[in-house]
Amino acid sequence: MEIEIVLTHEAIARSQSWNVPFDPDTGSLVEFYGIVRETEGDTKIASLKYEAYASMAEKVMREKITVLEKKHPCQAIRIVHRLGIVPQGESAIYVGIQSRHRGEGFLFLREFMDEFKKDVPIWKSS
Amino acid sequence: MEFCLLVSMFMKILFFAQVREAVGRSEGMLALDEPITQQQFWAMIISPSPALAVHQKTARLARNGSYMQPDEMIHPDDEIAVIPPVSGG
Repeated sequence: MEIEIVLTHEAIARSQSWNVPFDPDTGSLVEFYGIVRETEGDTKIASLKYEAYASMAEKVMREKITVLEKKHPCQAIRIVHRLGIVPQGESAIYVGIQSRHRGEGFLFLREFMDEFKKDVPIWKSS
Repeated sequence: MEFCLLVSMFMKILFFAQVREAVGRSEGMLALDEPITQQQFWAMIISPSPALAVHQKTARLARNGSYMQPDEMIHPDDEIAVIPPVSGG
């Protein structure tokens, strides 16, 4: 499975372009953008600030992908997480998954994000 | 004549997010002669920074970039990160 992980202080464009050519077996591309809302809890916010333990964050993501690809074989995954200040309405994270069929792509994305939220050492503050 | 030479090694400690704010810095060093338990580690870092105590129940320790198992020991040349609950994505 092709894996691309990017931690960046730059804005995450909508839509994302892939650096690697699509796998000829790819029949589905499932994409997720996590966007900073106007409210965090009950508080109105203009932005969130993200920080990461970058080397461990990438290592943990790769470990999660290795486990998940055995359950839901997919062709490629591209993850971009923005660090620093992310204004309301802009994306904090992008995850794209190429798979043969949509089913495994949806399952992979959902489980990956659940695992991401539990263990990947990235933090937000308002 | 016999010599016994003890050489301390300096372990690097990384603090992130709320834990960094409690300590007031992002990195620290700890001189160790021998492996210690995680409980001993917490006692050693809380002693000079009492504000860390409230994080002991919720923060996890990572040893050289991997979350530690409950009985895993900390060695003098390790890099230990104190990881408060994560909130990325």
